[in-house]
Amino acid sequence: MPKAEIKAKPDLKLIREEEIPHLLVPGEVGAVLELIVKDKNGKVTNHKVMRSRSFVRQFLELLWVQMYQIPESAAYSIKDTSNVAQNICESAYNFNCHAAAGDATLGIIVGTGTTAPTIDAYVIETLIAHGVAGGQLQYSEVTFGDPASDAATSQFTITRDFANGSGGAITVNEIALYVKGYKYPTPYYFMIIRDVIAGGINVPNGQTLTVNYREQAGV
Amino acid sequence: MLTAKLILDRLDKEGRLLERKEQKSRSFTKGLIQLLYVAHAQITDASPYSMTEYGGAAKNVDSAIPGSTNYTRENKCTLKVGGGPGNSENILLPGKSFLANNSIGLNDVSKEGQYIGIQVGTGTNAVTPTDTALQTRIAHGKTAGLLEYGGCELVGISIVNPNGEFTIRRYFTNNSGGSITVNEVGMHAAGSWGHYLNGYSNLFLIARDLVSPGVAVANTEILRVTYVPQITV
Repeated sequence: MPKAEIKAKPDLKLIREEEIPHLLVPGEVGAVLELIVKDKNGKVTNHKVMRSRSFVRQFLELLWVQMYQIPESAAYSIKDTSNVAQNICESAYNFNCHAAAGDATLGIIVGTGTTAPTIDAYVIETLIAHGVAGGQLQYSEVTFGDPASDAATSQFTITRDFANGSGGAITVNEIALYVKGYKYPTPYYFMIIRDVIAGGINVPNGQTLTVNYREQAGV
Repeated sequence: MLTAKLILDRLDKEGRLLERKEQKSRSFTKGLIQLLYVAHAQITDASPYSMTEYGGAAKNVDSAIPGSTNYTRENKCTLKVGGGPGNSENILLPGKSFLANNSIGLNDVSKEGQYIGIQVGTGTNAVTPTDTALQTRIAHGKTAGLLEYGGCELVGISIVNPNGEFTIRRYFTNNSGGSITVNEVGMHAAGSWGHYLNGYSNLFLIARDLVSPGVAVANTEILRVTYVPQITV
């Protein structure tokens, strides 16, 4: 009997000021990571909110490339998710994480690895592939919530749903953000955040994990 | 997390250090979050995102990828903080060809270097996330109340587990004839909008910090302002 395919459709809502989580101290730029598991009726079965700990080196390097406006003639070498050093220059593509449904090479990515992050990490440890076979989750399109602010914090949200139609439970232990970097005429893919979830988050068969990265700056 | 150190060094005209003030930068503003959003979400020229530039005007920003027929290599100035000195002309690339389409004037994408990168001012109002400009910016020049802006340079990217950092710095020379007290420091970064027939580039406040007490820079002295963005895993 074929497995039912679960449609993953992000449910984006505007964040009201009083709902902005404050986990950063003044002067920090980082992300708050929110994980929500819902059953097929939309009932929340698990919910975690935590500080994202781990911008990795590729974030700083892409910021360097854009702030410096490094041109093609002096491109800067950055390690991509395939462990290949790529020469990157300033571009409209840099930091793009707007992935389509089913694309597990860009945007928010999930995995089962548990090794603590290091600044040199360039790829998720053990990728959970897109699909409905055993051990796979269905990746939705990546969506975005507009920037908002309150008296202390400004933020925007990156969201992706992962629907489990695999037939069994899957525990997500690591979450990453992959973005594009560019040197004409080719885009490459880089990991800029990797977080390991203490204890993991279980996604039972038939349920959907929603991951929100809220990039924030605290004043 | 990304944090930043802010260092103000007051030097005499021979470059000798007279005073150093180092503090944690507290205040990346909404402008940085907005520019990161534009880049992450690949905001299109057809549905651009509106931001307030340092002069107070609402300006569109995008991260548009043009079609291959538009004579472009996808160059884009988003987040640029490196800039030339004083009134030197700087081209802020808008993402699409402005050379192949005469209706986009160079004037719409060129800015004086003084407005790009690190800025100083005399204002003392508390910082808020939605600040879009220094309270009272000190302009470039050599008459009363003005400082001469050097170039805003980026140097020294260094990444050794678990830390990474680079340096953004600018020299300000006081040839105004009198003392000037710097009470606020900030940073402007570029953003732009454009399709193949039109476009412009602008500058947006991404950080603002108070310096209290302020640093009094006497005539002929030099102020060196340094931001050091850092990450630690």
